[in-house]
Amino acid sequence: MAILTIDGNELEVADGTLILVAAQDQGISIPTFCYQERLTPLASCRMCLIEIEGQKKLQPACATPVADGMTVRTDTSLVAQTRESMLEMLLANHPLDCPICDKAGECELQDQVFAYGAGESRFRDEKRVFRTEDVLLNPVIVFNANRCIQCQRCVRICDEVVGAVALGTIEKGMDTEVTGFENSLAGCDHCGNCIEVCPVGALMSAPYRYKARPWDLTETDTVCHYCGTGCQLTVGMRDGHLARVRSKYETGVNGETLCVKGRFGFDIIDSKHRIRQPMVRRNGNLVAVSWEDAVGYLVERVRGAVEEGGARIGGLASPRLSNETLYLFQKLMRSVFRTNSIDSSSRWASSGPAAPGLYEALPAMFDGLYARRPLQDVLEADCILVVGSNVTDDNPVTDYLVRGAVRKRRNKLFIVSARPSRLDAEGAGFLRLLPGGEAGLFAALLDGLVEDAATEKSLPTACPDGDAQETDRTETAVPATPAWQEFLAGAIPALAAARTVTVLIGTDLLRAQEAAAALRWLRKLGRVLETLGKRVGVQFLFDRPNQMGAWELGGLPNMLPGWRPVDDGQSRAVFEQAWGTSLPSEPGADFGRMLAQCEAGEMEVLYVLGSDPILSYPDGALVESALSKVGLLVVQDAYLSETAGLADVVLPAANFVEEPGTFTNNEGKVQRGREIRPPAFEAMRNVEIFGSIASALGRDLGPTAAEQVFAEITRLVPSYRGLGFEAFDGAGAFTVPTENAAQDDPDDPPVPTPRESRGFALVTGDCMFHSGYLSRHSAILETLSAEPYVEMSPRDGRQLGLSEQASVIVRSRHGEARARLRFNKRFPDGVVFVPENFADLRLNRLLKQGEYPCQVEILKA
Amino acid sequence: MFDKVLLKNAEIPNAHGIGAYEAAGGYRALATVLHEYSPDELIQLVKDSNLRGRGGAGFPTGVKWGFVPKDPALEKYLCCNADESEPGTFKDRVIMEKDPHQMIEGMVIGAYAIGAQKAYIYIRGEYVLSIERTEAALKEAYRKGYLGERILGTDFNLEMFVHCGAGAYICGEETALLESVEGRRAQPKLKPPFPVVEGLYGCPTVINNVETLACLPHIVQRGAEWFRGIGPERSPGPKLYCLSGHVRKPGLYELPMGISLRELVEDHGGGPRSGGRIKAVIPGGVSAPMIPESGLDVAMDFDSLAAIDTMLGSAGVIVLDETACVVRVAKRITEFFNHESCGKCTPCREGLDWAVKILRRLEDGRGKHEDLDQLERLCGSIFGNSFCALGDGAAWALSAALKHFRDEFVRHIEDGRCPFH
Amino acid sequence: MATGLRDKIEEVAGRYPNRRSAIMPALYLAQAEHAQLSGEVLLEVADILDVPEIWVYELATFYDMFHTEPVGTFHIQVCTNISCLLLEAEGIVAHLESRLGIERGDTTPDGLFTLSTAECLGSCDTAPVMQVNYAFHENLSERRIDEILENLRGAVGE
Ligand SMILES: Cc1cc2nc3c(=O)[nH]c(=O)nc-3n(C[C@H](O)[C@H](O)[C@H](O)COP(=O)(O)O)c2cc1C
Ligand code: SF4
Ligand code: FES
Repeated sequence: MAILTIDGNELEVADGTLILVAAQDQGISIPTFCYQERLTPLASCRMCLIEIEGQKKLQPACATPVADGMTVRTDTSLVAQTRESMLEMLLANHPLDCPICDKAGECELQDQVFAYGAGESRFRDEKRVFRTEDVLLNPVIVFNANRCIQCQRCVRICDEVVGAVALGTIEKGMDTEVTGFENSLAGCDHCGNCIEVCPVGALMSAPYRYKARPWDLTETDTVCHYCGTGCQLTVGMRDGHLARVRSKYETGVNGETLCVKGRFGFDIIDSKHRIRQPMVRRNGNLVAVSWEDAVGYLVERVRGAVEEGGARIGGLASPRLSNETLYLFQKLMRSVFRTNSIDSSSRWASSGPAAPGLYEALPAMFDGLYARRPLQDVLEADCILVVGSNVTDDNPVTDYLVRGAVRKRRNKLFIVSARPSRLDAEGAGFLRLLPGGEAGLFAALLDGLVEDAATEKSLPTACPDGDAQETDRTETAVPATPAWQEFLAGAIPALAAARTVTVLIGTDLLRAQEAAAALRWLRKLGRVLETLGKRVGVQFLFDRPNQMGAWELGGLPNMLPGWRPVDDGQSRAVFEQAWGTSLPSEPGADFGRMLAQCEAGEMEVLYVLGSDPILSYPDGALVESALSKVGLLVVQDAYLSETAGLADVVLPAANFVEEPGTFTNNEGKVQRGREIRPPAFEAMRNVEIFGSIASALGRDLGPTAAEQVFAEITRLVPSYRGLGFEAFDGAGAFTVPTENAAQDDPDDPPVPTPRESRGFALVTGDCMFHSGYLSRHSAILETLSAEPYVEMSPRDGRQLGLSEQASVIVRSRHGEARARLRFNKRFPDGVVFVPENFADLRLNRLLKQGEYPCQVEILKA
Repeated sequence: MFDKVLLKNAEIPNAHGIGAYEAAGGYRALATVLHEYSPDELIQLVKDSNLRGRGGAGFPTGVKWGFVPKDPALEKYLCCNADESEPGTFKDRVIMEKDPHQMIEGMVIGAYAIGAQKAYIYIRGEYVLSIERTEAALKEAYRKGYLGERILGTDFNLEMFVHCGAGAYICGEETALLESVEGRRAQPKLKPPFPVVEGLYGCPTVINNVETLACLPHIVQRGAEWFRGIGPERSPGPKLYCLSGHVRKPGLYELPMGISLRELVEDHGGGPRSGGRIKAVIPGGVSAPMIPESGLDVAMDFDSLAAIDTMLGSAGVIVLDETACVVRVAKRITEFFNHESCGKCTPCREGLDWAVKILRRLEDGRGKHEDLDQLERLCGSIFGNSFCALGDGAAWALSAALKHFRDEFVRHIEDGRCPFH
Repeated sequence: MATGLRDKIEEVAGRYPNRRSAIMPALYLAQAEHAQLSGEVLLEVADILDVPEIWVYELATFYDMFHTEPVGTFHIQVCTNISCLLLEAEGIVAHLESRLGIERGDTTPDGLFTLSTAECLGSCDTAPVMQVNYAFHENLSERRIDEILENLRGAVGE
């Protein structure tokens, strides 16, 4: 600790604290331009110069740490005069074109001149003009160099946080200009973080250009609906339509940063592809009807199946929906429709007979091992293992945070994924591993650790029941490739030396049929690390905003909310009592089994909520055929999906800015998504639709208002117990681990043998610009990324005699698709990636559940 | 008569080869160091010699070396600052062209003292001959075992490379130099951490000027006391003075530290070229504030010049006789700094550009009286507030011109034209 | 781009612990091969060194000796800094302007000469001085300039 005096007040702060921060804590504000908390200090703008007793020169408060006994003055006339001079110099060449500048009204230069500037300018020469027209650096970023004050925040955020290194600084002296390669940012991430940090109107959002003044906007803080990182953002509406999205300084998990989807994909709320009114299929065509008719028709068709006992009813909900919607949906399904056939993802390997067990393996992941803590904390771990994710594409802001943590703390990061990502370069090691191989990896790490610990002689005593010796004998099928050996040689000692370990699990892992085994091995690894005295935390890297909430609140065929087994009477009793009804006791079907049921003609009603399985279920042939055989296909969605095209009843739902609701992000934090406007067209809030269906069936679903549903959740679901205002209306609140402490496997789970692979292994997932199929409704994201592509290593491409941009056919045993080739020199040989975001491609026609990664051939088109 | 030390070989034609250098006793100091000195003893020797850096700031070399952490596990670097771009300066160039091994030997000695195993020589890109001769000399030194592995049969290894600048004055500033070697835009970096603790690639790094390093073999061979005996005790040694401008015999002069400026200009330089009167002298490259004729009786050493508000700098002595227009000179100096500003910090980037605009107007006779106040105000806003010493130097040099020759500025305003052109 | 360049760049890259450091030497090598550092050349350098393109662009524009715009066969750079200025460097530039029929900063229409002014070239004792490409010419006078220009023209003629 250091004791110092600032403007006469004595204070005690931690060593290393910047004078700027110490002063701020005292309520003394020091003006800055180049300083930003998460960027490396530059101290170039010289706005923050202050006096330190005993030093000849003024010092930058933004880069000078406190020292014991220091006396700082920020209130002298010299300091004031210096601030005035810096502003005068910055304004000398500034165009002062505030009336036509988008930043006017929220410009830091304007604000500081107002607060600290002189009343007049002495500059009477010609101003420097880079160019008279603004340049469009790419479709979302427009640049006016004349206004730039050279704080370099944009360049630093692009390099240090985003890792894109697309923006740079060219020329020198007065000619210094920030820009992209040859004045273009065509190849950048388009995340717009450079716009957000620009203090002036130099880097501007093209879509927001000349749209509004800040005071014209109604701004609402809400949570992003694109991925599980759960970024906080602020939506600015003008006259009921989206004007812009921005993020606030050091707010939320994202701390001002956003990715392209979050910042520019919100125009989806004004998409043309909304479902405008209820529709019912008549004579083969969907025709618009009233809500009463639609619900009446639905209820009429459902009633029989309900009375039969509900076994012929199934429901699939999207993990993009709010906790309240998801909770009430499973309540409707279970208590009114009397079925446990509920699923909340159509993509995972849980589905279908090929891979039983993922959903059985899940509950154990969510007890104490799951790190329900801020990602920022979790990333402080000495060793971070990322498995099965291209974080850069799936969870861009998580990628930023990992990069920031690793660069700052220099902790050890290891990445295991099928395809390369930008984070590889930050890590201490990476391994290219196809989905399905994770169990083997965890087993190998465990083996290595046990061996390491055995030589240290700590494990045998730490594991009283001789667990260690057991584990020691595991025969793991580690491929003897140099890459594996090298990776293990780096990762094992790092794990052994770490006091804290974090494992981040991506969605690649969940797609492979070996997912359950992988999770069991992970759990075992976690236990052993804990036994070795390490603090271990696991988080999933979900690519959807509420997969965690969906699972925790009963969006599963085998689990009631709060990971309570459906087939456990005591668990059921809790809900039976609360809901005032009996519940079906048999676990239901997951979505794969529901499809099998449909295919067999045994599914009377399939209720699809906000999901588009016809595109996303990894067996295009089956899903198409199965859905055509359902008695009644109900689709409730805000946007017209492919699946809706097949439906018998289509119910227009509010989109995520038209209903309130909470979301549980990957950190296990519950955050509120806010209602920004009433449902458009004839859409209704999801929960209200459930309520009206229940009451049409003569049943009461209980209160449906978001606050009340949330309150019910906090009463009935242990992880959410006691959450109140902070979660619902405040900055968010963390759930707590479930106590059920699922039993660990008594034996080692089997290590799946690596599958033979011929030809290329096809992996899929999100690309940087899209999130599932939904983001295609965003006009901006669609402009940025309209075309599907096939990514592979240039070496493979050349071997096939193909050049970049060539049109190719990807062919599997089940089907084929056509797209352009994209080379990535960091791509491993023998692997191709096709993003799962392009409906026209119908990628799932190539796939078969249980065969992921999919074997394909690549042919010249 | 003072016996030349640094330029002793330079006088011999074609002395840049290793044969000539060895014949004149070259690399013997290195052998002595490697076989007879521990790094600590060597650092002590250099401290005892009172050698101060010849790059401009005059920091005691031995003290700088002493700051390098001793941890043998840390990689360390030595960089030779051969970016010599201070207008009026051409001393390092002569060493590199005529006697490159003197610098290289000094570098090996310095690297041994601080435990560096890698060294870079940052030579300004325009100095093609220097680059050529240094590269050739490096090859010779490797061949002869003065560089590379197990130098002279000891455990000491050193690799040395040339890194060419590409026309940016700021690269002479030591942290900018390191940024440039790391492949970044050469913008000065925050200090602390100082390069001796966290420099090139984050490792402890010593940066020394060519001339500083060239002194080392002599100090080793002739002792600290000999060195301290040349010139003033606190800032001793042989010194290279670059004489140019309105002087009869421009050139590079090796003379003791502390020689009087008047003697240098009038006796050695032969006085003003036109035969007329001297108006002012810039004593240490254009960053050093000019001294009016009346002040020429000053000793050319770090402390004496600092005492009269100027500096020894790079010892680039530029003579202005009575035909020189101070406004034009001040404008050109400010233009230089404006052109060479790296653009990082507000006062230097914006302030100098503003000053240039005013000075251009003043020179053409379009200036106003209030412009002089504004120039002074700008100097005040830049001086002490810029990130590195470039901005400070620019403001300092300009204020001196304004202070000593305000009447010339006023005449430009009142005449509405330049009285000299 | 010639594989020779790739090899040369690989060679200099070996002198540094990271590849970013090799950008400057690589730009020198590329410039020697191509005269001008066009966007294409910069991309190639970035590719060889496997560094972000913008890093290469940053350096190619920061340093005066790298040319992203075309320059003449002979790049004449006259020092106009103080020591040369005091010895009438401005007259030298004016003389060159009239002889070449262009203004400072321009290139002759035949692409033979580019005339620039330069900061101190470190040859102040032989002022006024200029550099033609990398060769120094010292103690300039109008007559010396005429001779130099004639020699240069002659050299191309051969
Ligand atoms: C703007 C600026 C330019 C400089 N240029 C040079 C230079 O060209 N050569 C040099 O040796 N030192 C130069 N220096 C000084 C260096 O920063 C550094 O102090 C010096 O190289 C240290 O070596 P020394 O201790 O041997 O003097 C410059 C400093 C500044 C602020
Ligand atoms: S004073 Fe500032 S702008 Fe000027 S060279 Fe130094 S850091 Fe760059
Ligand atoms: S905020 Fe401190 S110098 Fe810019």
